[in-house]
Amino acid sequence: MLFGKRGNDDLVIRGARVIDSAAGLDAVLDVRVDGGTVAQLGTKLETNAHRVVDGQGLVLAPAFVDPHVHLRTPGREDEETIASGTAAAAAGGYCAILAMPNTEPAVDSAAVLGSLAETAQSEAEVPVGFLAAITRNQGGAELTEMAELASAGAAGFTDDGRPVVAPGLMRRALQYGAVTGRRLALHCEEPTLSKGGQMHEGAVSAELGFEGYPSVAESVVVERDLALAAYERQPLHLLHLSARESVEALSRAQVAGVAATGEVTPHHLCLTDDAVRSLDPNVKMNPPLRAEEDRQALIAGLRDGTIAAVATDHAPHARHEKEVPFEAAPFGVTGLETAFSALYTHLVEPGLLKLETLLERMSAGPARAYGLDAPRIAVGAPANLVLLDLQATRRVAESDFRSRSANSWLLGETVKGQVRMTVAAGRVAFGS
Amino acid sequence: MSIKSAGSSVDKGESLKDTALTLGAYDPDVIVIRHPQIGAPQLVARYTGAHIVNAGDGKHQHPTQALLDLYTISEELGRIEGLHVAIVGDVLHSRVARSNIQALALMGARVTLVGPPPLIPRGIEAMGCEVSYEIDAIRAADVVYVLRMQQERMAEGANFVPSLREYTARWGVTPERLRPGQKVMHPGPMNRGVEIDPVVADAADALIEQQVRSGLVVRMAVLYDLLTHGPAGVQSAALHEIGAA
Ligand SMILES: [Zn+2]
Ligand SMILES: [Zn+2]
Repeated sequence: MLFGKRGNDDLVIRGARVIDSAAGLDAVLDVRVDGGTVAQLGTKLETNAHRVVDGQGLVLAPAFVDPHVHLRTPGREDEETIASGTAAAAAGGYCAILAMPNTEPAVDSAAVLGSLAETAQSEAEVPVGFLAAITRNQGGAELTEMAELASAGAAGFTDDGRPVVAPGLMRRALQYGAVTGRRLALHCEEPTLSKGGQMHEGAVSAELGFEGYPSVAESVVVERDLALAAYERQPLHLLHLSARESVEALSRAQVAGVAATGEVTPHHLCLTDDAVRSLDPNVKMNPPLRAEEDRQALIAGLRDGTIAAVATDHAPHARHEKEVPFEAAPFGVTGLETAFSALYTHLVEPGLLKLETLLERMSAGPARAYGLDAPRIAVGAPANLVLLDLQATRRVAESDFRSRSANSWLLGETVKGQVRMTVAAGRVAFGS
Repeated sequence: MSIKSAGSSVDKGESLKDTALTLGAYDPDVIVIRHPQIGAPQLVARYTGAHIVNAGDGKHQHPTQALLDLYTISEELGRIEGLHVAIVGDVLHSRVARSNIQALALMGARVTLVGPPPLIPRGIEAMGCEVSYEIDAIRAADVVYVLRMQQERMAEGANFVPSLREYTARWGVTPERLRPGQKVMHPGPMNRGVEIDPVVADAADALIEQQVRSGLVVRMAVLYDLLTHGPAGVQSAALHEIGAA
């Protein structure tokens, strides 16, 4: 299900604080990688003539998995390509990403999926999984050939960018889950409630004069889809949750036994609608930034595990498309290269989230949500490692991005916590 | 120099950024911009060195209108602080309302918004005003500020109001709904017989012509200020919009 370069690098990382909470591991250790596989953990390990990386003062953790990336390929290679997007992912500490199918054309046939997989196999700096569309051309009318797409390697199904509006169609798509064994990932938005909406509906939109995109436009569809998933006894994954009502609904469904997972973006965890006062098109995204109570509910949901995954919803846009008044700008911001720094700075440093929890929700959490093998630091596991410098600070600058686009909400901000090295599928994909 | 979008390069798809850069090449001291999109003046300010006067950006702000309204009120009533102003009608789509709420609150007036629920933005009380859905609430005000019902926005099917007829019956400002001595204002152009009864519009207590006269004076003052000593010393947020260079 994952396509990209793989490696059999030899490496010893010395003296890093190794954290893998799933393995109950938090100790200063040496880690030796032989031929792309974790071979030994211990102190004063033999280097076996491998390249040695000094990890002293650094943290070594299972590398990250981003379950929500827009690679814009095919169709908008000016904004991102498989090569540039995966290079950005490697720089962000990711060892695997999942790409969304809202491309031009959409990934709605085995032919399109096959050609993407082939390109990724030779060009992707970190392995990529491709989600396929739920409906043809993401038009919301007819199902794609889901069984064939699953056989061709689709990592899941989504019409992301758009909701599945019709409940009857949604139900049919869920029923096909029993055949494909892949989950549906849902962008929950009731279009007649969000119509024309530029930002969260509340005091800030009232003051600025923007048309509102209320929380209930999301939560009403979250409730509907959870009810359908319960009825069909099928799992589902909720994309980019933004409203506290949605988190509450997800939690209730989980308690009732529905196999539902959820994800949240760094921008929804770090910012609120107050940021829109800047009128900066780089804080315009769908779903929109919401109120502080929503942000707190998202953080709490991530902390207690209701929300399993951090997802960037990395959405590159061409410069000229964002250099317009807020109202005319497209929705979406980049995130692959800033996610860890943003969350370390805004959540871990102020004590809102434990480092171990953040690392888990950026790695094993998203992997499990899609049934992928979780990256681990254990003897015999493929080397998927990220080396982090928690002390380093940097000012986020456009010139440092590997992504082809720079529509980041963090431009100019100083953040703490830097990725020093990424090993993905046994290969050093970033850093030295 | 005046540039309208119709027939200009703007109409041919030139981006606002390029228009700003082109205008900036003439080294203007002041650019006055009215634009249908929120944030357009801020964008232009980013690409030119000129002073930018926001003459209305989308549904966001109309600062010179608020200034001329405040000037009119203080000329007629001798003060603004402590007055009660009711703003009636389509607040949702009104940049005039937003600038006036901000400016009046800043000057110590009490502001009550009156209109049908879909036209009063949720959460707007945070700007420092009160909300009522009952037209009777205007009786307590010293000044009744009537907003224009933009007919094109109120097409049936948009469902902001079921019909203009029902709006007028329920929220139209008529002589019966006013008490003697209440001042009435309107930013123009009026829809007589829709949001405002013609008798009210022509009554002695209507300040609508005074508003037009104030507009000339206040806009001259804004330009004079920017062309001489600039906006320095202007502290308030409402006024700051005007001088954002
Ligand atoms: Zn989406
Ligand atoms: Zn997305």
